[in-house]
Amino acid sequence: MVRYLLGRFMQSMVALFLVTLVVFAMSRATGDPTYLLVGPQATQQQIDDIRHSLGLDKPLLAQYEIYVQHLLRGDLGKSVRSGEPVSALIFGALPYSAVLAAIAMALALAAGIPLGVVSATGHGSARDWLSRTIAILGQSAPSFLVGIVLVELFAVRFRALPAAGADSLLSYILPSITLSLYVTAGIARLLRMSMLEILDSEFVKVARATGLPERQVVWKHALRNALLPVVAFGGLWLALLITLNTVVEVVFAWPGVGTLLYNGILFRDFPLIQGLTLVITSILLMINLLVDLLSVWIDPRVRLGQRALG
Amino acid sequence: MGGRQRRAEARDSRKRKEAKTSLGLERKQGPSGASISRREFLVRAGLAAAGLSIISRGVAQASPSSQPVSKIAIALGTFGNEQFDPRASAGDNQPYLRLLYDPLMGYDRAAQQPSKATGLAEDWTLSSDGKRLTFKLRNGVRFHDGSELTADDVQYTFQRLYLPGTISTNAALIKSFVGPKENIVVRDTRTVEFNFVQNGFPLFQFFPWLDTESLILPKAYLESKGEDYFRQHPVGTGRYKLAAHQSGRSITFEANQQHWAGGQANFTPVTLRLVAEETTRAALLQSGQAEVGVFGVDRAIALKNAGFHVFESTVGSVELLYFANLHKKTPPISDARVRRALGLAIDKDEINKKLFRGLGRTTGDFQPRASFGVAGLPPLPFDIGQARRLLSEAGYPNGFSVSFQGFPKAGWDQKSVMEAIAGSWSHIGVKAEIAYRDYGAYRADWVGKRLPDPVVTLHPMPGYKFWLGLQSGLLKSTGVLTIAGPTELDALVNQSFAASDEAAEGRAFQAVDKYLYDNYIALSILELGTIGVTGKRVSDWKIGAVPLSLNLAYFLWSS
Repeated sequence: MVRYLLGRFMQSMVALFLVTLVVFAMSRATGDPTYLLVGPQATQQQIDDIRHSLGLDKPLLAQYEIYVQHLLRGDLGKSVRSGEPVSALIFGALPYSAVLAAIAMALALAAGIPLGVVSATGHGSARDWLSRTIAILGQSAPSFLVGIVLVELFAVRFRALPAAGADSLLSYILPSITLSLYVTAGIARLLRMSMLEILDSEFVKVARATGLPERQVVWKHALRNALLPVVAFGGLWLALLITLNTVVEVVFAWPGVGTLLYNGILFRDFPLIQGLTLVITSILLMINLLVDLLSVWIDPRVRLGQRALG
Repeated sequence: MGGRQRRAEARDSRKRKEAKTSLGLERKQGPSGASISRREFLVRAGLAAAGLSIISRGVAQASPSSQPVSKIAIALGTFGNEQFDPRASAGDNQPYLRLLYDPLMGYDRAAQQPSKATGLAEDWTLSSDGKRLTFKLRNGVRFHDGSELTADDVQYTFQRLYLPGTISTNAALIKSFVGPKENIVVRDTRTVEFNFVQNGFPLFQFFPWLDTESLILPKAYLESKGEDYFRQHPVGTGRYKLAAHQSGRSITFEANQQHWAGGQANFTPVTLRLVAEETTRAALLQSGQAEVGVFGVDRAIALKNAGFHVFESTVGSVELLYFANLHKKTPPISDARVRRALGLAIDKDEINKKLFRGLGRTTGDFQPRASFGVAGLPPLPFDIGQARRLLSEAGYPNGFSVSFQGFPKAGWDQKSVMEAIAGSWSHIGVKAEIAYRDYGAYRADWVGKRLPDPVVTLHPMPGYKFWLGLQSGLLKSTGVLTIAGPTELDALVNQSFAASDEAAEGRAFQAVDKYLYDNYIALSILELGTIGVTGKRVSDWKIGAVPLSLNLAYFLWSS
């Protein structure tokens, strides 16, 4: 187990290093942020001064070396755009994204699990067709469109909810619903497949034969077993909801990491983009690791598989 | 069942109302007007009473007077780089920097002239040889921290432009006139002198339109608190003080009731909200969560139809085409007939009608028509037949391929404009390969002389007094971004810089424009101002000018 953990940790570190390298190279390959900072009248002297103050006049390798040195000291640098410390910007935005993602995930579980179960238990019926249609719509509807429609309905027409920002608890409703739709559909579809398999298994047949009520068979015994893939994917979905919900955050002017990333890319704010990528990757790797551990704990076959491989 | 549903509805309705009341969200009648039920009227009356009580408490704190002031939210698509230090900002920060700070030389919008009543200087003199500009500061001006404005503050503000990392648009232009920073001299506590190394008249003319460079900072405060502290807690002499700043989200100002110019705030606090998505900005206006916003043409028209007020600035940007590699003198672009053919093949009226909903104005000028020294040149006609003939004469009867560069501009559908122009050119056999990318990447290639050849660029160029700086950067053969480089044009630009009175400068500007027009060095398509939209609480807004600021003080403050 310890060996497995160490192996996974090392893999994560290598992945993190590669990500810093790729992001560093890509953020510079797309151009020089100096030209976005100055107007067309700027002189070459002015441009050179700014490039020097940002360290952009140094060779790429030297820039990367400085970046890694700062990183090891926990310094993510300063935003080219606003001059604020990148870490302050990221950790100021992260709680907004995390809370929004948690609410969206809760909504997705609350809606996706019943939808998946209802669909599986009514396999081939009208309710299965309806559930699958809802799931497909949820996965195929672009989130910016869903967001805009919700804003138009609930903020503009009914004036019941705020259109944008994170000024109150009510502000969480529309973005979290928008964000949850895709995951709800994913959970419903995944659970349906898993449930169909479980409902056809021997232990379910035995449970039915012993005379247990169908509700108990489905919701207690079958569902518990069918949830394993949902748990595995749920962790990743949560990580993605926290870190990669840029479209929804921009539509709702949500002050989270998605909006921060959008602004960073718009201004070619490479210290911010690098810092965000690093934090996002770390979160993804960490949650991935936790999900792996959870899977090992829940399902002994995963552990046995590791031993067999070892 | 029915009873349970009714109870649930009643409960939900009650909770919604409670939540709204606690948030101060008023359900207002839209600008278009709509009838309301008695029940809704009572709800609104209750909310209004609650809101009034909150507002009146705010007023009591903010203003000793009994003037009706209220809070206001303004939705903007950009905050620029969100820095409060004028030397670290380039244009987009102006709307809020001009609330926080006052310029040294004021400007009278109606007369379109410098004004001795609206800036921190109450008088100024330019020496007869144009080499010395002396400012006399007004008495009794105080910064938000209570300290008094002196000539040291003015000297300090302009000398900060010499610090590395200054990105403000016109810093380089100012330095080219002033020379070493020691040429800015304090004569007494209220007198400061700028000594120029060349004829200073063009800079003197340009002074009221300086971007952010002439917004005066408190020397003692900055030196005692330091640059980093100042960035977070800026202090100016402006009509509003910074109350709160949430990076990437909102900036809130409260009125400075002791402003030297008198008058009073119509609104306080003022919250600027950063909302990048235009649809969401519109939703904020429509739902009453914001009162003012800046929009593109399509959205502005939709909002106008919904009963909102729409205002357009008279000075905006000119959509023009230029040939960035013209100085290389490589065919086919080096041939003036080819450049003219490209201009003749574009149906500008159709572009204006279809893509700018008729709000733009087709033009042959390179600055908006309200600009100083504008020549009043007519747009090139749309004439495909003549365009084909010119190409044949130049030896390109079957056309040629050209790289067509462009980049986004907020509120303008630049990609569609490029596609429309490329479509027009296809009728004369010119195949335009569209390269639509961000300005930073384009400009890096432009400066680095890496643009492909032949190349045409679509550029929404800010006009007005920017023209002076642009002339030196773009049109002189020594400019960083030179496009033309012929010696005749150098001589004409030099005349702009040598002018010693307004008439001479105007003539010089017109001569430059005429040369560009006659030689097809740049091709203008149309001009369009910035478009602002307001709800019913703001019924008038002279948006724009000074030079590209949104002029928010116009409705925020009564003089």
